[in-house]
Amino acid sequence: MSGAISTAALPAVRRPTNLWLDAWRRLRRNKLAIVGMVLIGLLVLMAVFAEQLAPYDPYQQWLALRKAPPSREHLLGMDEVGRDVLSRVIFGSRVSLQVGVLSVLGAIVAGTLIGALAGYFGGWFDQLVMRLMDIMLAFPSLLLALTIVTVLGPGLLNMLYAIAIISVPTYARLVRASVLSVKEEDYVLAARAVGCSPARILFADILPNCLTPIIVQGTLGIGTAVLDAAALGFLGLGAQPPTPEWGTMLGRAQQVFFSAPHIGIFPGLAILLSVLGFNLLGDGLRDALDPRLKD
Amino acid sequence: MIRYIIRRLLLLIPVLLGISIITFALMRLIPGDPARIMAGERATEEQVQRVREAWGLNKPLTEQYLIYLGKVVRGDLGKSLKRNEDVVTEIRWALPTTLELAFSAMFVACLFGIPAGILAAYRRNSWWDLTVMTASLVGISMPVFWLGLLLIYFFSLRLGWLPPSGRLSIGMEFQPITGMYMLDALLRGNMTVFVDAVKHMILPAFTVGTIPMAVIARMTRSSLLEVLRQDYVRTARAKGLSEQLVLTRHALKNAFLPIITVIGLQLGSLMVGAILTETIYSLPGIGRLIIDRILSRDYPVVQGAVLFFASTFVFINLLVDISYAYLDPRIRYQ
Repeated sequence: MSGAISTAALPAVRRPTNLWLDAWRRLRRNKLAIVGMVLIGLLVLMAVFAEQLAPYDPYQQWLALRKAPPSREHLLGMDEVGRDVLSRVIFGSRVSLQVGVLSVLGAIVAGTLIGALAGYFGGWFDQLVMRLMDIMLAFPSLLLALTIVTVLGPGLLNMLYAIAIISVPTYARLVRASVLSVKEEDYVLAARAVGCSPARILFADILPNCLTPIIVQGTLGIGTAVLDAAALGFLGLGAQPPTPEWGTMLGRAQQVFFSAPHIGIFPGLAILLSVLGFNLLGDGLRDALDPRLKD
Repeated sequence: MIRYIIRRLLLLIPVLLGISIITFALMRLIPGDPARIMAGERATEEQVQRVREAWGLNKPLTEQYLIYLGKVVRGDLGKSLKRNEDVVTEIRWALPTTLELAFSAMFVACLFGIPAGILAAYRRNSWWDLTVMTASLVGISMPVFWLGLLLIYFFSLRLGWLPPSGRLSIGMEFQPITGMYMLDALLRGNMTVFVDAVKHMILPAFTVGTIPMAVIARMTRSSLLEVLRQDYVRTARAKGLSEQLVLTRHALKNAFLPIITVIGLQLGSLMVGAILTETIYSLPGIGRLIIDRILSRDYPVVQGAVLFFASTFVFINLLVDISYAYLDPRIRYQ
């Protein structure tokens, strides 16, 4: 052995990186996550460019073409009152995406605030709030949403509120658990020792560490919200006709499903693919952001 | 063990009280006079007054709640507006259908989910594994109501194999005992009715069971993979046991605990599935009762059924926890 070390023999040093870049690199290698991102990408494109993509006005009726099967002019056929199904499916992506994203954002904001305060301050406040969350979780999710919609009345906006409210406990619990686990870390003690205010400690030091589980849960949560919104619409308690919403379309198609299945098949397929997209991406994000969990 | 059960039962009290507060609030939050809502839109002034007296609706809110709670504890959930029946009676009529549906769905979910998961884990990375995992990913994202319609379309309308709705064929007559027709037919020894009832339950059971099936298959796979990596499995293999013995006697036994938990956790999805599925297949269960009565503004029934549904859910979750603690002693001493 000579005294000199050849640099070529050293293992290749990785470029300096950070958590997000690292996670992105892992995510890109996950085929299922890519499929999820493609599905979500298509959904977003559909929602943003609905006016350009839809061949017809989603509200326009051709009474002579009621229940007409797919044809060259109307690729997915016509619905029970003679509207173009394809155009309605395309415009429906707007409703589903908005309800999904807005309800989850609302739930994250409320849940994070509740969970962070409960976890940080503890004591009776923690006890009271978390018992309340337990009670909400004691309801099967859709049942609680149904109860809320019963009080508020059916409708798109009320459905959005209901879905946001039922998901609050999930985020509150998640954030509380994360806060409890990092509250005693040295850097928090240090922040407290140098006299930072509780608000600063909470928002600048503690909450950024709770971000990854929220991102994962939020992505999966959008899928659940889209599904719940469609279920409420299907039951006639969500978006009201003639709004082009997938669940509502399916509910309306129920009576004619057996004579004209195309009216129901495509909105249902749209729901399935959107939910699948968010589930795949959520799973992928979990593996990418928290490699410890992966086998 | 007894101490664990008692502690869990005590913890249940605030949750049950909370549920009752929510259902109590339901009536008070609906816009309008609660007495009129409870008596119905077509009730006479005198009837409204009687309801007001009976439920103490002119008293302060806390007192109203206590009166409500007192009645609930004694099994009085009020009167249905649509039919001249007690809410409790209506729930009792609807319950057997929902129970039968839930049991059938869970049976189907385990019957297919567990073996699929075992095979996927055992033949890891094979095409079978890939198929099961893909199917379960799709299954988890499935809109239950859509699946229900598709199943009816293919298996009833196109193939004509199974009936599209209801619990028994028209003209099929027999005297129910419990109200769960499959069980009743067996108890009466009436095979014709039994076969008919099973045929009516297959599609609904698969509709409700799909999501739990997918979750169970995934959980079985990952739990078994975890166990197959353990040292004692390697030891069992090293001492020359046949693969079958390793799997049945060493691996599966230990893999089952998480699977049982996940089965318990699927109850929520089972109940939500029942709400949607009963509507599609015209099954007169509790889920359909709730939806029907929300739409027809029969709020006393909605209130009672929601209270009943949520309390049942809490109790079953407790049972799952207790059985889990029984199987895994470490949990009891936490």
